[in-house]
Amino acid sequence: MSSEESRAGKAARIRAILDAEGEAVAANARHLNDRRYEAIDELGAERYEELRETVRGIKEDAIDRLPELLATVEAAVEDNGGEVYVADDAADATDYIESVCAGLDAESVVKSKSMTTEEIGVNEALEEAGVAVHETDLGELVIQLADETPSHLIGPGFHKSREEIARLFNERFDPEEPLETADELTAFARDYLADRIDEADVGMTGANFVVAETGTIALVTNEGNARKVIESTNHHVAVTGIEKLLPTLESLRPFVELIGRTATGQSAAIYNTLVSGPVNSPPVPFGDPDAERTFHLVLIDNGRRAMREDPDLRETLYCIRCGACNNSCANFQSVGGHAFGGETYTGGIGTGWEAGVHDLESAGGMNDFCTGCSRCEPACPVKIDIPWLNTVVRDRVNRGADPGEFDFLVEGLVPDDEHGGIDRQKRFFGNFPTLPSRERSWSRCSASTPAVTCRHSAARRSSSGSRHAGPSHPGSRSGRPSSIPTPTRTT
Amino acid sequence: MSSGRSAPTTDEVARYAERAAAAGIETTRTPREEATAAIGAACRGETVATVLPFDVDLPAGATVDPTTAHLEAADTGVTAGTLAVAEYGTVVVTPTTRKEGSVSLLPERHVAVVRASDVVADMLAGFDRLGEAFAAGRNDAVLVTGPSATADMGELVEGVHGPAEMHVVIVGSEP
Ligand code: SF4
Repeated sequence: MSSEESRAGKAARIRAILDAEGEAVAANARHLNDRRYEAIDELGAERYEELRETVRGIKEDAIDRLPELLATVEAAVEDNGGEVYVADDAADATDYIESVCAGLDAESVVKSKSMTTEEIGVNEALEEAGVAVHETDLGELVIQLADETPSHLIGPGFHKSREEIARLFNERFDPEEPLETADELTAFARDYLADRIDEADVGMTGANFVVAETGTIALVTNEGNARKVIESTNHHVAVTGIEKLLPTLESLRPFVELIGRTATGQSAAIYNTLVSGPVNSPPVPFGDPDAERTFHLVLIDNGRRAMREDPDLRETLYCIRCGACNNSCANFQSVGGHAFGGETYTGGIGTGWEAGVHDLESAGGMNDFCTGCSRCEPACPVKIDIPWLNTVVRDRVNRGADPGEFDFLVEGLVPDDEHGGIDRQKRFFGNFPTLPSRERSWSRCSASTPAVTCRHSAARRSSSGSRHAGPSHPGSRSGRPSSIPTPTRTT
Repeated sequence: MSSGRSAPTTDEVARYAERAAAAGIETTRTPREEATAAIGAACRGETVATVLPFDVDLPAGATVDPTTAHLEAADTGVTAGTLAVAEYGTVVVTPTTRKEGSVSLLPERHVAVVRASDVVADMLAGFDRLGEAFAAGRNDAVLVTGPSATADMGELVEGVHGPAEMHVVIVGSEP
């Protein structure tokens, strides 16, 4: 992006987004941050850290054992009467989903929110095949009606104010009485969607977690739409990434305790729905009690197996997509996801996802917004070093396709492995916590990170020394990103 | 009551009530003999219900095994809660062929009936119980922690695709 767009052009584009979306984004992000701090306070800093350690360990282990877990889940889902399809890429996945819909003569599909289906473009593929697709998450419905893309991992319509939504609904549906309040808009959307759900042949959901051992998917929602979609259709297609696999039901427990807190600042999300194969609750409207029910679990690779082999990007696969890194980001709070860009994923961990499932260009554009301030890292329930991922991507973009091309020219001539990819300004901010304490007494780490302590500055202080004079980054390992085989932690 | 499991302390049920309130769920505690009346008192308007998998009678006015029309006309749906987690105020609905799935989800108000012996202290204990149920083949479960809600329309609104009001009746515990 930066290579094709002039700096002035980019600045003008960001200003336009700021004007149009900045206010709604700022209000939503700050509200979610406040709620997150409260929900973590409620748990207590110690329990929170314990849970983070636990889920981090579970994810590291699960990604390590991914091939084994894939085999386990296939067998378990089949035992439960469902089917698993592992799709290599987006086209493979959408072809399969289209063929399932065609096999059922499906005319319409109702969906609950899923970023993975955005990633593979399932709505467009189905619509081209003549199947109507209706989003049932209200935020996702707004985005579908506005023909826009989600601007946040969990709040697709994060950038929209109530007034804008009311305008959109009134234009689109022309109700007898113009809709105005959030209550009116919600009631209208619920009734509109109830009819779509009744008519639908297929219910499509994502899956926040997949329990390999029992062949169970876990869906985390507040609206109740995922369950409603499943309750109301005979055929359920669940689409998610292969990285969502967890070994056992017990290993799901700490995620249930964390995801509501970091996503929306709730102790627990309102609906944690566990589904293992075709459900046996009669679909509404109640029809033939003996009608066949089917369950298809589509697990998508689309770059993920390669990310697993990539020592730097691998950590991205631990992400549970709670959006806390977006909300905590000082720049995201002002401009929102549309300014950050990215084909599907945006802001915070969006860099890692885009680099893995799309390409460096898509990841690199949003990378410019990362100042390396590291506010996101303590917000992440899985302890992902997101600033480091930004550094890695920045480095790869800057070095281009052949990172080592000119290294031979300077080999042996420099005292340290100078980090060619990071400019001085970014390095300065990246090393900010290493400055003498008087200079940084107003630092974010000393005052403005509620509920969590910034382990970067602590680690830095205790280990400050010459290695930080070289290429570095808060929370990072020194040296060139791609030369570090496995991520190591400072604490 | 499940074999070999000690009844929860009164404290645990009290803790459940407190945490449920924080999640926007009303609760009633009732001795077994008065359970049917307590369930009735928690219902509003037209009521549909599913048979409870334990020895508690449903109020006479409730329509058991509802048709689509009953369900659509209902103000309240009554189901069992198979498990409750005190620390979170969570109640678990287990959908079966008896229609717990839709009865708990579609009417404006959901009343869940939980035995005091099915109230556990925390998620750890809750997942132990879920694990037992899964092993026994009941591997479909909804952990519900409050009325359905959204903030997608610019402000928090309760009652979206699920109920706007929730009430849990805990049977076998003195108020
Ligand atoms: S990187 Fe961490 S904070 Fe960001 S969405 Fe993923 S899990 Fe949440």
